[in-house]
Parts: sequence; structure tokens; C-alpha cells
Amino acid sequence: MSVVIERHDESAWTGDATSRYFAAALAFTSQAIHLWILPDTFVVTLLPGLFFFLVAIGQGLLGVSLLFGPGRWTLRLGISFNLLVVALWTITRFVSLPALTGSAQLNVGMLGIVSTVAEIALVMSLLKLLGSEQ
Amino acid sequence: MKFTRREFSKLGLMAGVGFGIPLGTVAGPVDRLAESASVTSPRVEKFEVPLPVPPVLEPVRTEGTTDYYEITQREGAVEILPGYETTVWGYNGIFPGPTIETRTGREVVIEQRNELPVPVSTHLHGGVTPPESDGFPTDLILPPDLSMDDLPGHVSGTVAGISRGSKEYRYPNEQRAATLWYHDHRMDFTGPQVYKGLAGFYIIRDDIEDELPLPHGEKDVPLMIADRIFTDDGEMYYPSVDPSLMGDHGVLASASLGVHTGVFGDTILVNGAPWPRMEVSNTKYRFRILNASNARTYELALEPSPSEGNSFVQVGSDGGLLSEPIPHDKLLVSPAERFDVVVDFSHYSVGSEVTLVNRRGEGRVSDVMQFEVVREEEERSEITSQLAPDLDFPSPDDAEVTRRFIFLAGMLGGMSTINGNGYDPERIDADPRLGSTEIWEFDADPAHPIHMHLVHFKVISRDGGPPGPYDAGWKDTVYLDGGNVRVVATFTPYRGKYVFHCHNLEHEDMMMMANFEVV
Repeated sequence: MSVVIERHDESAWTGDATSRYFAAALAFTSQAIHLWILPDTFVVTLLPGLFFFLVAIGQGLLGVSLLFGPGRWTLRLGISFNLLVVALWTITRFVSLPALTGSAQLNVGMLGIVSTVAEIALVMSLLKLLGSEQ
Repeated sequence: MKFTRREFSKLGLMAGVGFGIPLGTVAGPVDRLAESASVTSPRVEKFEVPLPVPPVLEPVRTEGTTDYYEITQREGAVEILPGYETTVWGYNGIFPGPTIETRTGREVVIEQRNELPVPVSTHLHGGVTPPESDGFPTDLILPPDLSMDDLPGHVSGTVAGISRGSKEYRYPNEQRAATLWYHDHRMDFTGPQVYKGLAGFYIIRDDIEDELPLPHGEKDVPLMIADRIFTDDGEMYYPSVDPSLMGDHGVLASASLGVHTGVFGDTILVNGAPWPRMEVSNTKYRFRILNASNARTYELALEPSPSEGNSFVQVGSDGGLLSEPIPHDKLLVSPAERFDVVVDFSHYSVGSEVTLVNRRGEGRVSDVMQFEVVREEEERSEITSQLAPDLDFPSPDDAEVTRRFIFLAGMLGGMSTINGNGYDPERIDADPRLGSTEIWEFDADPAHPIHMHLVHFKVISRDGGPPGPYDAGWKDTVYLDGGNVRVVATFTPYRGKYVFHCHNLEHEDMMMMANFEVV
């Protein structure tokens, strides 16, 4: 393995830097919130704990990818992933799945709201980046 | 393979931010779960410790038909494992707590004082008890110096309110002779508090039983079977989320792995002693078997089997004597169930060692205790073909209502529910009329010992067929290993709010409980 100092091939980059950095900040915000609630959840309820763990990994990878200029498939995957996270959060606020989630009715807490708003904003940012790329 | 500096930075950040930070965050919880799952009790030589029998508590005074007792719930230091000191939370500081012995029709009044660092609520399991003395989960007795503001969560739905320091429980004992037990029933924390030692026998006797020639005196022996795990220093280990029991309730997810969830120990205690030994004569003994384990179900058998006859002759169930004895070669005993059995050691020669084994257990937990036949003695007891007069069960034909309750265990730490609902102390899930007869159908996934407060019931069918071999007599707890049972009960003699729940105490604490109100 060797490191090449510079290779001017930015064909895969999409969108302007400000939009990408903003989207990356949103992904890192969502990651940070999921990491914050991960330890307490993981020791009690494994399924939500594992889910938060996977979300944290996904948002981290997406955020880093956005910093460096993602390809179209990364943007599409990011949109799908965040829509899934938002959908699951919303569904579990209305549909009781206590055997899986460990709670009869999950609360709408401040962290959940902030994370969901960040994820919705992230989806919109990714859509914009995808649109500008096309 | 060649990388630009940019690609190298990207890969590095992806590895660090994408994987490193999440893995670092989850490492602590994973360690805690792994540590919890790997606790193993110090090794104890089996069948060395003599079987202790809990002391019978004397009343502090007697007036007419009422006996008054005082019990202090406090910490105590006891030797459970030889050579180790173990801290227990016990009634009068001992584990098991002192036995209350009384007679049908004699009222017992117990002042329960709380000197523990946590709230408590005491339930007489199997007692036909007025609602204010039934130990409703939020009818807490606070320690004298604890304020309501110190309590975790919101306390609601009380029946008799909150007490501070002590509370008087009144038990009319207008019920048949039976083996009951009293134990803690604090909302959300019953599992750890019973585990720490808050359990004791409560035996009701009556004239009908006295007139039978069953083994009695020293040959009438209560056996409280419970499994526990001990740490290296001999303390009991319970995987609480918050070991102070004053914060978040529940157990670590390590107790939720596998099909059967709950806290299982690796050391079997009988009357608080590990795998004890009891010397017997070659005569009949009556054993009042109580499974006081949090989650473990036992399949008890004798090894070797007797030279003739069956290992056990069941003479009583949760609600007292059967009308006729039932022979068994094994007994399936789920948490909180009682089986009153006679073992005839005349089928063994003097010098025999007879082990009470658990065929549902492997390794350390496959043995329970051992009997050694050490002497010959004249047999003075007998199991008559008729025990109690014919039991007057309610008829299913008289049932006004049939209710169905589905008990579903949570997955990997998920909430355990009844009909999809977690426990709410304020919600009424059934409202039987006083004096009415109802059929209740329980469905279980996967395995649940289901206990109803206030009433005793008769199992009328199991999985659509006849009741099983361990369903005989009056019951207050019925075991479902999947499938369903239908029971019939008459809701009497008190109006008020009571609970019914799974007696796997971890399931109970994780919300598998509901209220019924007799109206």
C-alpha cells in the first residue's frame, strides 16, 4: 500500500461544499444523539440497543462520506437509511411494540425530536445534493 | 493498492467516526453484560449442610381469636455458603423469614416494620385477604427516613395508601388449611427484593387436617426451594440495572437471552441452605414444597426411585388438601406453586442416600437436596384414601363471563405484557362481580406461572383437553409451558382491587401484571 500525495479526480463529488458540510453536521448530530442514549438502552433492551448502535455507525459513515464528496449511490442510501430511521421513530410513538422496544408507549422526548428533525433535514439536504448533482 | 492523501484521510475518518466511536461507546455496556453473564458462585460441596427449618414465630400477644405478630424487615448477615457471610434482606433479618403458623378462623395481625433502605410491600401468597392487606404493589411501606420525593417514578393507584415505617396487615384466615407464603411485592422491584431474602412460610392448619393420620410434627417439613448466584465474596448477585433498587427498575439484558428469561441461579438452596442433607427414618414424611425461585421451574424426582410405589404421593396443592391422594413419580413445580407431598422412606433400606433431583436442570442445578435413611422407626402415619371432604369447586356452567388473557414475554429485554398491555396500577383490566363465577383463559408464550390474588381456582382444561397431572385441587398459581389453560373461580369474599400476574418475578417487574376489581 502507498499514499499518493494528490490525484485530481473529483468526478464522483456532488453538490457544493457548504451543503455537504451542513448535511454532514446533521448526520453527526443524529449519530451523537444515538451514541448518547446507546449505553443505557443497550444494557436493558438489546434490540433497540443494537438498532441505535447501527444507526450511529450508519450516520458516522454517511457524515464522513459527505465531508469528502459522496457519490449518487451514497446519497440514495443515506436518504433511504434516514427515512427508515424517521419512520421507525414515528411508528414506535404510535404503535405499541412493548415486547420489542421494552416500553408500552415510547415517549416523545426532546432528544428524539431533535434527532428526528436532524434526520428529516438531512434527507432534504441529501435530496438537494442529489438534485444538484443531476 | 494506492491511496491519495484524501482517500487515506477519508478511510481513516470512516474507521474512526463510523466504527471506532460507536464500538467504543458500546464496549462498556457489552462488558457489563458479559460480566453479569459470567458470574459463577463459589464451589460448594453438595449434601454437606444439614437442612435448616425456619423458626416458627411466636405472637407478641393474643386476644380472643386474634394473634398479633411483629416482623422487622431488615438487613442481616447469614452464613449460606459454608465459610462465607452473605447479606440478606430478611423478615427479622433471616432467610427464609420466620414461619407463621395459625389455624383456620384465627385472625392474624402482623405489624411489618421496614428498616431496609428501600420501600416494601408484603403479600400473603394464597391468602384470602382484604384488599388493604393484600400487599398491592404500590401500597408501599417506606423506610422511616425516606421521602416520597426519593422514590423512582410515580407511585399511583394505591389501595390502602403509602405507609411510613410500618404497616399492620390483617389476615382473617377464613380459609382451608394450606401452605401459603409471604413475600415482598413492591412495584417494579419484587424480583430483587424476594431474591435478597424477603420470603417466608405461612401455614394454616385446621381440624380436618389434624384428624388425618398424615406425618406430623418433625415429619411435617416445609421445603422452600430457591436458586441464587453468589459472587466470589459470598454475596448474592442479582443483575439489577440499578443495584441500589432506588433508580431504574429491571434487569440487565443478559437475563433475557434464550427461550426462558429471568434470573436463574447456579446454586440451589433449600430453606436457605445449599444442596442440604436431611437425615430421616424409614418412615413417611410430609414435605410442603414451595418453589420460591424467581424464574426457575423444577421437575423434581427421587434418585434412586423407591423399590415399590411412587416417589411422591401428593396430598395437597396451593389451596390445601386434595380430596384424594395422587401418586407421582415426578413433580413439575413452577415459581410460587406449592405441592404438599408424602415420601415413604420405608421403600429404602437404612443407609440409603436418596437424592431429590431436578430433571429440568443440568450440572450444578440438577440436584436439589439429599435424604439419608439413618434409622428404623415404627410407622405411625398413613395416607388415607380420602383426605379432605369432596372439594366444592365452582361449576364452569355457572360462569357469567369468560375472559381471555394472553401472556407474552418480551424479547431480549423487551417488556412482558398481558393482552399487549404493560402494568398500570390505575387501569382495571377485569371487573368481576362479588360472588360471581367466571372462567379465565390464559394463553402463554413461552412459559409463565400465572398467579391470581384473592381467589383460588380450579383448572378445568389444558390445551383444550383435561387438566394436567399437576393441576389437581385448589390452585392460586398455574404453570403454562406455552399453550393455554382455562380456570374457573368465584370472586369472593371481598370487593376491591387486586392483581394477577406472571410469577416469574422478572416478567412481573417488567410489567406482566394486571388489575382486577371485584365490584
